[in-house]
Amino acid sequence: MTWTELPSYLCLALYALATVASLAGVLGRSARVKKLACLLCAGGFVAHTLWLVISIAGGAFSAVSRGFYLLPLSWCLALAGLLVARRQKMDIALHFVAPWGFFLGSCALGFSGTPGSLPLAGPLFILHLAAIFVGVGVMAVAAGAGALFLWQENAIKHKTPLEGFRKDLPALGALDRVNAMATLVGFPCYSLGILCGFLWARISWGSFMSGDFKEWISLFILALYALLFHQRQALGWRGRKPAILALIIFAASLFSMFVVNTVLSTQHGF
Amino acid sequence: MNSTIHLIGINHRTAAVEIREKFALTNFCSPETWAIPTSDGISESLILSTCNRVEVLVVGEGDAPRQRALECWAKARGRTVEELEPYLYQYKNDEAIRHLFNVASSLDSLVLGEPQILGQLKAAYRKATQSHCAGTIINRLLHKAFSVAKRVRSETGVASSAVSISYAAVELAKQIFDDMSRHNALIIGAGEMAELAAMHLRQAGVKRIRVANRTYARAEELAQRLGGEAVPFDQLFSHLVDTDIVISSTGAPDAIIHASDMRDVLKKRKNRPMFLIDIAMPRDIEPSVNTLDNIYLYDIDDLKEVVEEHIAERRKEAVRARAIVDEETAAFHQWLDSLTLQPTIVALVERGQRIMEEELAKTLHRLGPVDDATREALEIMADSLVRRFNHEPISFMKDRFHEAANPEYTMQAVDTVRRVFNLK
Repeated sequence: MTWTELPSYLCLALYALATVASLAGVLGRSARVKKLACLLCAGGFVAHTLWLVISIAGGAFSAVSRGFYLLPLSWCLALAGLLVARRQKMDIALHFVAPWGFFLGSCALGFSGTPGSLPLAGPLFILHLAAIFVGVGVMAVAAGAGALFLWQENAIKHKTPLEGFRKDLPALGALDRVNAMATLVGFPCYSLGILCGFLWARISWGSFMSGDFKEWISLFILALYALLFHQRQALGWRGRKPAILALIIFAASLFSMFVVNTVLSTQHGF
Repeated sequence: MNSTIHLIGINHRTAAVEIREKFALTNFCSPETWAIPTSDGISESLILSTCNRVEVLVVGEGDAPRQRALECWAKARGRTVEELEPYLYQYKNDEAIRHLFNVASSLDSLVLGEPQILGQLKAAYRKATQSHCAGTIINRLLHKAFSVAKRVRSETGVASSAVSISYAAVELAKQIFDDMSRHNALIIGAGEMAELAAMHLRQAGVKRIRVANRTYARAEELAQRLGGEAVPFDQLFSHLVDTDIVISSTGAPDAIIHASDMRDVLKKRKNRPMFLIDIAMPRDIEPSVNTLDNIYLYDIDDLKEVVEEHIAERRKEAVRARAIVDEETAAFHQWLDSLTLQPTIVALVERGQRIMEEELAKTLHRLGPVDDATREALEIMADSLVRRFNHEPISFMKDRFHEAANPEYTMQAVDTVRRVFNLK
């Protein structure tokens, strides 16, 4: 292990410890253990940032690998979780970030040896990736909040007593606000990312679309995102429906990321 | 030290309110009127007198302080000990400590886990201190009781869930709305329970409270008490548009709020969630309202169920809490036992000090005039010699104390040291 690899292992170790501490803190309802989990998660994010910076400095963008693709994505997810935890005073977001950070970070490390297959470069391409990563990252946090919302809402609606650690979960209003914020930030970012991708494809490949399945699934996600954005802003959707839609968007993003990219034949399979 | 801790008292389980009234010591626990003086065998005393219990804690040698405390208590209220005794519970040493910890942790309260008792116990301790009746044992015991209560609250859920209907409603509201200061409440009707729930809402920091009642004057009256505003009953639905929490308790014979009305209200308020609490009988709000998205409707039976579940949960948690109390009682017992070593340790140290001073004086006399540095070096050497000689017997006693399951062994070790060093 070289010193440049150190942040990656440190990041994964801290996220793993944060995940264990989160579980113990949430299930055991211990404020101290939860606080420790948050600190470990924040430490993991610092190491994560270093890992990303070292990767970029090492020229990862010129030879995009699947591992590098997952690295900034997991970083965006962690950043979104940290911002929600800080701005909304919702530590539970960090308990969600740690396992995802560990999972995506491990995948990034596992795939790091895969060489890039495309001559990818340029600001348009960087913007394409960055904007999409922000869009997916915030939707991941919204999906986590959405799952909690549906679970809690079902109990309150059906008068099931909130026992144990469920009493400590954020109020429905706070969870819905995470969805609203994620939609407001995520939809423009995701749209920008898709637009940049099409423009880049036009410049590099000669046409906006090449009929790749990845392009269709991305457009499908964009359509769902647009629906969520519109219904929230124009029709005042709140609560269950946006929570379900956030979960669907995140599930579709995971499908696009792990199934389309790895199993199907696609130009995006780096 | 062979101090015995006695706790005698009456509470809501052993004596009816008329009896508790007769023996209440509320007016006999200030420094000027302290009912249980520290004399005639009582070395320390504490009085706890609340609406649900009157308890006296005394420390002294043997059983005499208990009898003395009883006499003082009865005398203060102009009664006899015989009148008091049938309602009395009496605890000694470990049992007394355990009971006090249970009381502080609200495990002996009428409403399990209620928070007031700890404050009352703190006030009782403050008065005992002001009356100069709290000594080494009561000081340590009460501080321990406060920390046990804190531990019980933080490590168990004995006080975590609401056990009154009005408070349970507010707790539920907090699960729906994160920041109560951004939400408005509307009270429909002017029932007593609605008023109580509204009071809890006000305490929870709700932004604005409005009251609607068929009789406008009554609405104004209640609004004034709640620090809110009265609104005309016929404008109810227009006010619902910017209301997040509704408490309804009118005497209307039929439902006054229907699902079709609420559908319109929801549309106008862009689906912002609403929490409706219907504590009227017959109900004011059609039950099908609960099927609408973003509306949460609880009636009196739903809330009662929540409260019953919370009470059952508190009882379950009380088992864990009692285990903590037992553990802390054992720890306190150990500290109490350690007091038996104190007189011997003090005697040993004093003996060493005395010998050191005598021998130092002789040596300095023999040496004649010496400079300050030499004198200081001799003093330091003599002091450290005595400390080192004392270290072994003190460690011997402490080790026996920590190792021995039977206090007899500790006493044997103490006796050995006293005989070897000829301590009186």
